[in-house]
Amino acid sequence: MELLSNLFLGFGVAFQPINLLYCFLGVLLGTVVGVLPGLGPLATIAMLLPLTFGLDPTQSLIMLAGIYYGSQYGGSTTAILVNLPGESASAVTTIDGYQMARKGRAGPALAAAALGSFFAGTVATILVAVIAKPLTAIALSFGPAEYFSLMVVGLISSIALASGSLVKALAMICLGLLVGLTGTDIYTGAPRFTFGYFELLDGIDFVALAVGIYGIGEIVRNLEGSESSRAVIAKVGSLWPSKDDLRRMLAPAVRGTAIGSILGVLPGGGALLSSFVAYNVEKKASRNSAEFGHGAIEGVTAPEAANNAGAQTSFVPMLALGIPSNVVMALMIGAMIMQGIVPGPNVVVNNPDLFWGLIASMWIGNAMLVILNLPLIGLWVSLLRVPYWIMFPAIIAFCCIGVYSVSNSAFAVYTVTVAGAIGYLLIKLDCEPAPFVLGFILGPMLEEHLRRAMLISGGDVSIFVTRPISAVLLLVALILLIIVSRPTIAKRRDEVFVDEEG
Amino acid sequence: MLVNKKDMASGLFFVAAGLLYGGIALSTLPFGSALRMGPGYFPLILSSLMVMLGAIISLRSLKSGPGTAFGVIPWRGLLLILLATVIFAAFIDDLGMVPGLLLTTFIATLASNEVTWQRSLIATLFITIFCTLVFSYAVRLPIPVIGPFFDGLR
Repeated sequence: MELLSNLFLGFGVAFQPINLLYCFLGVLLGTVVGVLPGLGPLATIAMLLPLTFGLDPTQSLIMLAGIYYGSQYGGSTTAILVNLPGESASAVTTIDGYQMARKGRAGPALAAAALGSFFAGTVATILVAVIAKPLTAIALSFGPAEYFSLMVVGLISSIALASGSLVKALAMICLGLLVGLTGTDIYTGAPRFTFGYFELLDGIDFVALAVGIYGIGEIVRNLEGSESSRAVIAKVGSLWPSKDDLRRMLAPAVRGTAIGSILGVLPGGGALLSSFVAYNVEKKASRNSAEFGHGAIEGVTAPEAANNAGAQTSFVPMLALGIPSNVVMALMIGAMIMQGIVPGPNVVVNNPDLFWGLIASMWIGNAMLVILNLPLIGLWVSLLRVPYWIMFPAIIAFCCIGVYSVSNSAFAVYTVTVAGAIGYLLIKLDCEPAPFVLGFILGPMLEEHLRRAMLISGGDVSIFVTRPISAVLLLVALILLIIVSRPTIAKRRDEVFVDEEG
Repeated sequence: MLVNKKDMASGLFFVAAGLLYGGIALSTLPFGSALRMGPGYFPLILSSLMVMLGAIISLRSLKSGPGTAFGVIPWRGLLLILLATVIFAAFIDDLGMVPGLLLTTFIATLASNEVTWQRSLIATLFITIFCTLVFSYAVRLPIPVIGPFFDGLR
């Protein structure tokens, strides 16, 4: 039983007191920031990244992973209690979660979110442990053509996440790829798109870009509305769900976990898509579908289970292939590189303790979330009472310090300014940033694999369709593109995202 | 004529960005061949594609109806927040953590619609103290608490 011995190794690493401490710190800080409305996991991780600089690679990744699901979970708390998604993946949770809270059932709603997430986290952790290794073996046989096609699938499926026009999303991908190419060309050493700034020779700092778009952009959007209107916080009564609640939570938790686990592994998937799909499936599958939108506990459990499962299984392509399936994983890859670890199939061979320790700590982190969240709910509620006029300058200060300290560069902070301004403009023009950000990350990799594939094939483009795995992947991308461009689907996509506002 | 202004603007944005990047690629970066792609090959493909997509978006906007409202732009907030990040970048190396943060946070607090003198002062002081304790003393980031600018004053 290789799996058991690997897990044993992993838990051995994860249960070291120092690693437990960092896992706990990560989950705690992630929740604290995640509870704040408008700050998603990406901005949270980017902001807290400098806290992990002094740590060794295993500790820092354990802590970052903890921050990730902590912030995810914190977002759900906000969604239920104030009807504001703390981050986009918990947008659907607001629909039924807040209705439950208004009916005085905030406690059971929070418990449903916590228990659903924990169940999903447990299943997903096992799943990650089981499939990561075989996938790594497959990945080792991947050539540049396969990698290229895989990234194309990732980019195309990121469109499914973007609301609004398909053509705009495609254009955003192109823009992201182009901006991602900024810096020195690895083959010829020619500087590209640096506009004369020598600081840009190493490329544009991803953390700065992410903070600009997701941190600054989000704050400015919040300033559009009246700030004091946000102060209505639901009262939390008894936390414990009734027997009936528990019975009704079981099936949605299982279905949500299944959906989240599958969608999380897909490139471009992850927590956001998982929660939307799970909610809609549950609405159709449930016997209580009439109650949806009016405080159905199923409508809280399913998306919460799904987004947690998706959050965890999205580590699989990152750990096994070195390819980020979503923007959060892109940031994790950046963090790994900063620690001197090259993500990809070799991680499990060269750093087994890091690989399995991280997987084991995912489960521990999930257990900590339940322990942390249910009894400490009062603390989170009081955090929600911190007024916005003190909150957002603090976020700006954190963002500046965080970005600056990645490479002690003031230039990176200017990058935040520019990315924030352009990002806000594009959001205003209904251009979703997610495809752009994914394109930005994949740009250099995509080009490198394209060039290598062409070198191997002697300049013959047909290599992408004559190699079977690559052909299948491109076919998947094509089918995806057709599906998302079908008018009926496009309409439904809009409806799903309109629900979010409602 | 009912033009979707948002689509028109974003379409034109993509065309302009595509022309800019494509122009740079064409004029400064060798194209190479399919076998040995030069640094300009992939960028030129991408920027051409982007110009095309941008053109499609703009053309479509001519007949897709007025679309959703643009909404308000909180100009004051937007500019003050951007200014705060610029100030941080410009002064952190010289001023150090405490003076740098005092400036940055103070400007940021003014971005709120509901700012008052008391609130601004409280937020600035609180955030500066908090961040200095956390980042300078607990995490020990290598940003000096008081920067080299003040060395002469001691």
